[in-house]
Amino acid sequence: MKTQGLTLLARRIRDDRTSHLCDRVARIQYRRFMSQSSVRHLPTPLIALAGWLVPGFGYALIGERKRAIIAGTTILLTFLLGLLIGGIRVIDVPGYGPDGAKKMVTVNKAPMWKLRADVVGEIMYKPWYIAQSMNGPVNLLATWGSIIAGSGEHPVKASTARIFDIGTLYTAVAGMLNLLVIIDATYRAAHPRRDVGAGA
Amino acid sequence: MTALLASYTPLLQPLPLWDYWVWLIIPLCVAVSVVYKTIKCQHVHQIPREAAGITLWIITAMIGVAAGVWLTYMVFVQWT
Repeated sequence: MKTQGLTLLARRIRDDRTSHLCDRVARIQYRRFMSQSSVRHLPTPLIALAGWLVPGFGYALIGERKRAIIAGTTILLTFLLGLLIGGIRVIDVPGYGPDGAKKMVTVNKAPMWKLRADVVGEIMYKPWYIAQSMNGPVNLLATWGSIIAGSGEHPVKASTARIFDIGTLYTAVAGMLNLLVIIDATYRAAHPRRDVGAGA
Repeated sequence: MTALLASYTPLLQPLPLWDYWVWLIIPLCVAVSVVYKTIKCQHVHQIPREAAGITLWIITAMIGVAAGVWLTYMVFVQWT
């Protein structure tokens, strides 16, 4: 009788310990799951948009901070180097002429902005702007700077020949690299690996 | 060169690198390599080594292509 009682007591203690351990393990697993799910389950369009707004930020949102810093810094430095090499006027804005003024055409005897009259034709005339626009708001800022610098009383002339080409190449390649980074961050967000965080 | 650099206004004027433009390929190769390896490498600590390797490969390949083009030009235009 006494032995049975002791056995029951021992079993209860063991069960209590086991359940206590199980609770702790479950709590740790839940915490881990929540911390991972909070970064992993962001919608992929949001990751892509964040990557466009700030180069590399898409990686940061999926928890890969170091990767984000390396990619973002490299892309922004390449873009800045392009502007420094060729000048701000390497951002050749569609719809604007070399003098920084809007290009106008006559449609039905009325003047019209060329970008509005023939948007596809005007963008195809300066296709490198598509690549440059992948740099995000920093390119919009440079676009504004290019228009301002090209107009006014003392307009800044665009650089010519090789230096203009190299500046354009740098800024366009930076945009294309950012597009690659956006695609990769979006893919990683949609297909998380088991060892996620290895790059963090 | 020093006088040109002294009169250089960042962003408003182009860098006076007309005689040295060919060297501008190196930073571009580095940038492309770093971002490419950032995408490809599973672990971040692999990136510097891998990027340095691929940068060297790109530059070596470009020198090879340049040498090939130069040789072709010499063979078919200059020496014949």
